[in-house]
Order: sequence, then structure tokens, then C-alpha cells
Amino acid sequence: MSAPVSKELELVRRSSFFEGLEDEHLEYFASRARRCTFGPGERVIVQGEPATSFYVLAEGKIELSFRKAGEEMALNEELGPEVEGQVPSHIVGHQGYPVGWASIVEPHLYRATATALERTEMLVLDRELFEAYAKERPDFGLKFMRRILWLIGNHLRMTRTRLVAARYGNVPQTVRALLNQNAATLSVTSPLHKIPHYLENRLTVDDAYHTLEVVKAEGDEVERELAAQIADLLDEVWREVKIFRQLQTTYELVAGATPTVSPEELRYRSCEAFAELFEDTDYVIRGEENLPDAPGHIFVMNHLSNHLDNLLPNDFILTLDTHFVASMILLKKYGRAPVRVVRKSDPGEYGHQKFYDRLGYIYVYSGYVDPADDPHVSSEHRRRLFLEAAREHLKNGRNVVICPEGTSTETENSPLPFKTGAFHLAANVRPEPLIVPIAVANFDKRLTRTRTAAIVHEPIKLSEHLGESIDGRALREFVDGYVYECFRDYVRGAVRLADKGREGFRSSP
Amino acid sequence: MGWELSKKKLRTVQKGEATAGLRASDKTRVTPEELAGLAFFENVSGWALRRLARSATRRQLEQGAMVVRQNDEARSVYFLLSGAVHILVHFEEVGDLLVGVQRDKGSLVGWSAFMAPYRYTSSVRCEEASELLRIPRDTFDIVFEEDAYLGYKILKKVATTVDTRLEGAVTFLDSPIVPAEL
Repeated sequence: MSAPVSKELELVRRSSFFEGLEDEHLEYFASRARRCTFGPGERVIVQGEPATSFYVLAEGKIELSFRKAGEEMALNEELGPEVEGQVPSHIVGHQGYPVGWASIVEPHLYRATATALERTEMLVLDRELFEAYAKERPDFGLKFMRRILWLIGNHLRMTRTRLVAARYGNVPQTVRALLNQNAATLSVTSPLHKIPHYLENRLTVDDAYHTLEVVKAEGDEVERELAAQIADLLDEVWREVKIFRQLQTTYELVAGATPTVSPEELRYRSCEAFAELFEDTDYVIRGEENLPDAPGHIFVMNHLSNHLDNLLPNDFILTLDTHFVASMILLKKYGRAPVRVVRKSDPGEYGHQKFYDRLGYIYVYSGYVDPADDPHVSSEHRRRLFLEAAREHLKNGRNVVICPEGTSTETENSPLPFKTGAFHLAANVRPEPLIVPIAVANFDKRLTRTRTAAIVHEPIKLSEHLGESIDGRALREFVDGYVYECFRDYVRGAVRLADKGREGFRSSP
Repeated sequence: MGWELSKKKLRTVQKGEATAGLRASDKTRVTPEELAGLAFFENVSGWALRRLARSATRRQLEQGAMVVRQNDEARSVYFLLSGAVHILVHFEEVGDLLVGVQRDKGSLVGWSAFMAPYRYTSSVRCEEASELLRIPRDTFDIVFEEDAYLGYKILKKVATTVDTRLEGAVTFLDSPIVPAEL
């Protein structure tokens, strides 16, 4: 009966780096390897430090970052990876990935910094081990150095491709360039040639993922290594795909719910699903101490447009900023999902209507009037209907979220001028609800490439500014002047907060 | 005679080596001492130097001449004796991009000859009239077969060169992209 194979030996056998080296050599190193565990944020190796060990990724995920020669390390490490002189980082999660070839190559100084992104286990092999064994078994030494050359050569190709691609910012093109750089060895029948095509469309990105998984398991040596490189290169894309899938699921959760599920229950489920989505993104929330203790208030916020990447196959885009406020701030504080005021869908916006109809939100009418509604109803009447519906929710202790701009825009142009409806509502409900301003930033960007921010500001009690009896003109002036000016500062503050150094992923005090 | 020349030229082209811009092949022999004078061959034993020198040839190329072309079979290794060469990588939909410049005496050109699949990963073009020393890959293989540990040490030097080139690629490509034509 043969001896059981150790985990270490299994790992080095599977690693494409050790491919082609005889088992006796692999056994030698596997039996002498140490295992080291690194927590999230912990550094495995640091660029510029003496390279004494060679590592093999056993479990987890690491980020490789590289600083250009001669560039100073940023003093404020909170600035994150986009500092001067920093080359786009590279995330690696495939088992058997070798780290620290500089331990084998002179001048024996680590060329990159490897940081664990999650709990990560590495096999550690000391440099002396290779040196001594290469002397004892030069046949191994020669083959091993060819593998080191193969490794650095791959890195050279990858680095060139990534840097050029970063300049042009096109993922399919990056993959195409990488395949092209390996054209001499990659079979023309390889399924990898399909990857750039799959990546062109959001709906086929999943196919790219599955193809890479299959090739990683069943491809030849060249294909397996390339598939692993491409998969690492696409780490950000997978995160985007995950978000897109979550958006699709959330939409179906609401639009496809059985008719017996109440709007209140659906609002809750939808908020929960969104909270799960946002938890995996980089966000920061401040000012939660300004939230009133009990619900039943009006929350006004600037409204940001949606990134087109979030467009669902039915041409509907779920707004992210309002769902963030609803799920990450209001649901968490009050345990109940708020009611939102949304515009009535235009004819043809089937996806929009199918979603919002189920949530029992309050509709407002902008532009075209839905022919299903009575065209003879005056706008004054509709305003009354809106006020009544909103008043009812507030009286029942539900929070109401309103975006007073009536439209959306990019963070850089936000806020746009406010309409007064939300403030009219506050003036017409007794006991008087508070108006709680929330400024948001960056929800119009790709969630995987930005940090979003939301700041809750001190509530406004309208009567304290305008008295008990409020006329329309005074209200208009108040909104155009005081409120709008405050909000401009609030949004700028949210932008600054998002830009500020990372004080911890998923930051919320 | 004419036929003989064409046949010779054809053989050179088949070997994947650029001939345009070739000024002359210097007939003076490459000596082991000359090799020993290049940093790459430091500490390489005498017999190996003699073997390598025996098959080494000199190439004098004009400005703009190609030393090697990307994706061609890497049959030879070159060492820059004088002049300067540009390293260019072709990217689909982008064109040829300059990823490095070599002007130091003894710089290794064509390291892909040391590693399967033995295809050049970039093109190398003379930035100015240059002299290079060419050693066939086969000769290195013979030396490595004879003394694997020496092979290990030589490949370590190659690895250092590629590692340095990697660092250079970052510096080059992270600066404004320079199209190869400029």
C-alpha cells in the first residue's frame, strides 16, 4: 500500500509552476515546506525587503502590488493603491500560485508586495533549500531555473499586457492581447479564444467564467496557466458579474413575487437583498447619530444616475443610491423598509412598472400621463392624492424617501435644483415630520471601482424656519436658498468622504 | 554563385533571423577572453567559454535593422557589444509599443532562446548602428548538458536579466505610451 500523499505534495503537484519537475524533487520540497497563515491585510512579502523565501499559495487570496523603482512609498498608507508610482495591483486566488521568485534571483530583493485579502495559507520554502539542492542535484537546478524563467517571462508578458490595457481600459482587449502574446504556444482550437467575445456582453460574461473553470481543470499546460492568469485578471469583472446577478435576483424577487405577498413584505425582502449586495462593496456611512429615534419622517436625498452596466436585460436599471439609503441606513436603524416616492412609469417601461407596482410606493407623475389613469384628473388633484398617500404612510410610522430633484445626475453635477413637493408634504402633516437630509456620492460609478458614501445630516423642522403657516412662495425661496445651498455642501462633503483614505472596508461607525 | 547566396539567405530567413540592414559579418573570431569580458560570462569556466566562443559570430547592423522579431523561433542569443537597441512588443489593435531600450555593453537580447517554447516574446530593433554577438541556442544546450550546475548558474543570470526587464517594462509602460514609430 502506498503512503498517503501529504497536502503539501498534492499542492505542489497541482501547481503549474512545478510542472515538469520529477516527483522525487517535489517530494523533497513538499516534505521540507512550512505552512504560514496570514490574516486579511497582513503582508506576505514586502517590495524591496530581502527575499529569503519562496511561497506557494495554498489557500486564500492575495493582492500583488508593485511600486515603480525610485518612487517613494506613500507616507499615508490609507491612500490605498492609487498612489503616485503605484502600478495597478493584481489579485491572485489560484492554488499553487508561486510568490517571491526574487528569493531565487539576484539581488534577492522582493519585487512586489503581496498582501493577504482574506485568511491565506502559504507554503514557505527557504532560499537555501533550493541553493543546496541545486548543487546536489544539478539536473533539478537546471530544470528549476527554466521554470523560474517561465514564471518571470509570464509576469513580464502579463505586466506589459496589464499596463497597456490599463491605459486603454478595455478588458476584452486585455485578454485578447494576452492571448496574442501567447500565440506561439496556444492551440488555435483552444476555448480560450472565445473569452474576449464572451466578455463583450454582460449577459455572456458568465460563459467566460465557466469556460475558464473548465479550461483550468481540463486544459493543457499552456491553457491552464493562461486560464488562471485570465481569471486573476478578471477578478474585478467577476465582482461586477456578482453584483449584476444580485441585481437580477433582487428584481425577480420583487417583480416575480406571488400576488399574495404584501408590498410591505416585498419592500423588506428587497431591502434585505440590497443590503447583502452593498455589504460586499466599499462604502462609508456617516452621521447616523442624526437619524431620529423613531420612524415616520421624510428623508430627502440627492439622486444619482445609474451606471449603464447595471442595465437589466429588460432595459430597467435599479437605482442604487435610494436602495442604499433604504437598506443600509433606514432598514438597519428602524428594522422596516421605507416607502419611496417614485415617478410613474412611462408607457413601455414595463420593467420599471412591474417592479415598483409590487412595492406599493407612492407614484408621482412627470411628463407623460399613464393612459391607464384618468386623463381628466387635474395635476392639483394628483398632488392631493400624493399628499394623502404620503401622509398616511407617515402617520403609520413609515419613513418616506424622496429625491426632490425629480431626476438624477452624476455625482460631479449633483445636486440639481430641488422641487418643493417633499417640503409641502412636511408642511401638511401634523404632527410635523422631520426632514432628514442625506447626501450621497459615487452611486453613479461602477460599484467595484469606487467607494460610495452617504452622510446623514441634522434634520430640519420646517416650522422652525418658516413658522406654522407656510405660504408657497416662502417655501420655494427656502428650498431654493437655504436647503439647496446646504445640500450643495452636503454632497461635496460626501464626495470628500468617499475620496478620503480607507478607514476600513465597509466603514460605518 | 548567385544560387549559393540565395540558398544561404533563404536558410537565414528560415531560421527566423532578420537580415535587412545587415552591414557585414565581421570575420574576426570571437575569443573566449572577449566573452569573459562580458558581465554575463563572469565566473563561467574556461572550457565552456571556449565552446561558446567557437560558435559565436559577430553581427554589425545598421540603424533600424531588426535583430529578432516577436514570435519568431528563438534560435540564438545575442549580446550587445556597441550601439543601442529598442525592445518592441506588438499589441493587437494598439500596434508596436516600445517597452525598453538596451545600450549597455554585454546586454542580453533574445532570452526566450533559453526557455520553451523558444519563441521571441518581443522584437528588437537597432536604435543606432550596433554590433552584436550571436551565440546559437544549441551551443548553450551542449554546455548545459555537459555541466548542469553551470547551466543552473547561467540561467540564474538570464533570470536576473528578465527580472530587470520586468522592472523596466513597468517604468516604460507606466509613463506616457510611446508608439514604436517615434
